[in-house]
Amino acid sequence: MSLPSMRLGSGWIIGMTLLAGCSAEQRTLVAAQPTSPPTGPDDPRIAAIKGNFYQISQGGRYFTWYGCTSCHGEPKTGWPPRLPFVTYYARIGHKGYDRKIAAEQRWQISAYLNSLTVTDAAKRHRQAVDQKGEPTAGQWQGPL
Amino acid sequence: MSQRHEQLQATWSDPPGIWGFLTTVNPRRIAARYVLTAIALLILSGLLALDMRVQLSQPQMHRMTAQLYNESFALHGSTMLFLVSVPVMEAMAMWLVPLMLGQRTMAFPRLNAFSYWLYLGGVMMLWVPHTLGVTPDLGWFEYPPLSGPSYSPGHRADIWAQMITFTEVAALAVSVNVAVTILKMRPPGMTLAKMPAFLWAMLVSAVMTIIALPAVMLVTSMLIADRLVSTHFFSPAGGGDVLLFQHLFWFFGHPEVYIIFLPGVGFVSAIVETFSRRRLFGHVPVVLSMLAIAILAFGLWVHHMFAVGLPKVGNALYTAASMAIALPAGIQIFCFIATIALGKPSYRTPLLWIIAFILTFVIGGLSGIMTASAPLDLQLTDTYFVVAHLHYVLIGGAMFPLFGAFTYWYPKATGRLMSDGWGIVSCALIVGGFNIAFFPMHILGLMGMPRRIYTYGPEMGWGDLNLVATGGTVIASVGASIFVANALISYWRGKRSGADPWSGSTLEWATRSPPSNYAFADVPVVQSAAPMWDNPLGPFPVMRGLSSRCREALVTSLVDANPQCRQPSPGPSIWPLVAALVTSALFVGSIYTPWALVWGAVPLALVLTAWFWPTRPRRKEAQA
Repeated sequence: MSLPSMRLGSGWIIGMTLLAGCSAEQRTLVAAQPTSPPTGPDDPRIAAIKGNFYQISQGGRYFTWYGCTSCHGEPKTGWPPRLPFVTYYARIGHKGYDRKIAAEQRWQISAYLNSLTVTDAAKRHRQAVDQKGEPTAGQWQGPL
Repeated sequence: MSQRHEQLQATWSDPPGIWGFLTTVNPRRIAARYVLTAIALLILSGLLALDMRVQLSQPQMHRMTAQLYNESFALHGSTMLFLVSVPVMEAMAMWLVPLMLGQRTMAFPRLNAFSYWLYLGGVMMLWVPHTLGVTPDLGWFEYPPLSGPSYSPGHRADIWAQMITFTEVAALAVSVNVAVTILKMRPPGMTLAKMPAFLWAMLVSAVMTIIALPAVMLVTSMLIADRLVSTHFFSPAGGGDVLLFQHLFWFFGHPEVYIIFLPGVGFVSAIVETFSRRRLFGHVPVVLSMLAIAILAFGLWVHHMFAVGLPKVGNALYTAASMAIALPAGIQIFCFIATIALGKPSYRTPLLWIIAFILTFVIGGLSGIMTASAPLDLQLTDTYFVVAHLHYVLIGGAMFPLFGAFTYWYPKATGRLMSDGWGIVSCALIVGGFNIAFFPMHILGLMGMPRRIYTYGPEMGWGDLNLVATGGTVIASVGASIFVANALISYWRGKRSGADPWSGSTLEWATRSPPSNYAFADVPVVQSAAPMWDNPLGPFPVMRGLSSRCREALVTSLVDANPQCRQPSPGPSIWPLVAALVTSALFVGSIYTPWALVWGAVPLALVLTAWFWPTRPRRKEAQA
């Protein structure tokens, strides 16, 4: 029965290639999230957050919820500009938003902005369209 | 005779060793692999279920996180529906149909091999990423927008969607094969009217598979397109429609329930007939009921969607259709009961499983009538009532007949009988444990406990019934372990069965156990739907004329089964495996880039060309 071992072998090869992308798939629902701003461009949390699909998509939802689109519009080609992660983090704090948005969510929005610079226009539009039903700050009619 | 046996054995044998393992086109060898893979997955899914039941046994348990629970039930449901229930029924058909037709092989032997390798690809598509922590977590039907690009980032939803493509291509391959084999390779005398109910069940479910499965392949491909190349099929704000997903999914999903259930009816017909020592009561109504179920099953998928807010006329129509399907199902149940009542039943283990099927499936059918009613369904939808109902019909309606079938045909496959005593013990524990586990879920559902929650508060008052349900699961697991141990030990220590231990009614009992490579030296000629009982004393009438030097099969006419021609049958080949590997690469690659479809098609075309390259000389050359 060397076939099962062959299958196992090919499973390992697929496995090792997937392993690289596997922390990207992780979903942190209860584990500790960052509560302080990045300490600098070398903060190890930056690589972990901006490489994780779940953190990026949560950032996208906060981008809609906090009403970023009401001034910036739907993300377009050329916006946001490609900037260092810490700069995104700092700029999200403009106009007093540093007091409104929790650190954990600023991390996630930064990761989202970082991802937009490498997302093609069709995909950005598709993601935005998917979130048309989400509540948006400034236009919210429901209970507060 | 013995010289002919050796010649046939040589003609139909596989090459020795690993090469034979990879190239075999013997339907029994491939079907055995299918069944064993499905049973391994059944055990893994059962362990997942046990894990989830322990988590729910008490309020506010935190041994599983919400994410792990989501992954567990998604993996349990997807594995059971796509990788166990449908494939195992097709595997049983692949194993039994040629034997019941008295044929040496099936219509397209290499297609079977291709199907298994692709099915194994689907298994690995779901379970290899799971071992790496990337598991689909949205249940066994992944509705958009939740599974769309915005809310399910990463590749979890893609893995689920592409696993379906794998298994459905595999299922279509077997179904086409089963349908053509039954329609064109029946032994002389077995007209459509004299075809055993088992073969009818397999034929009807194969045709249903061919009609239903393209819908789900289409819808999961549309989901992948939405996620990968940003199409707008399922984005309402972009001009799409999320309900389109549900319609297409359930246009497959509801017939699928009957694609799983009808083979179960086939097992029941065969077992009831043999153990009641009486021809099946109401052969014609049973077969007509199968056809009625097949037609109605395509007209009631909307009862899975009563809560999404469709027009009232639609809801009323689908309520009526859902209730109407209880009539043919009821006719079948009454025919089975009548067969047992009018016969001289011998209560061996297979028949006990069938009695368990009748009791359990009737309870599941009654809760089905309740959920079929749109107003009541609004209250019951997404509660544990639905969980109870679906397990009663799928486990009671398909798994219990399957366990009975496993016990019934085990001696045919291995040459040894399973222990009757331990068989009764395992049957009692599984059936008893199952009812203790799932009956309280009806009440929990009526109390309002929603499905797909990882824990609940003590103030809800659901703790006691959940503890009972978990206890039932443990009892059933003990029974399942005894069943597996019985099967394993009997393989080496079981009593030798001989060709026909049960005095069965259909043709598979006419050949030795386990069947030789060629199964039948000559095609039997039959007179009724229970051919083994027609002439119990004399030798079986056979039709001679098939070669023993080269692989040949008999082709007969569609309705009357008149012999038409001798069809050359292909031998072992590596190309089905290579084709499956290339197809797998295309499917896996298309999760990451749409170009995989383009560049993956090139090697696929080359491999298929090699597979279909003619090996026989053209007619003119042969004549020259």
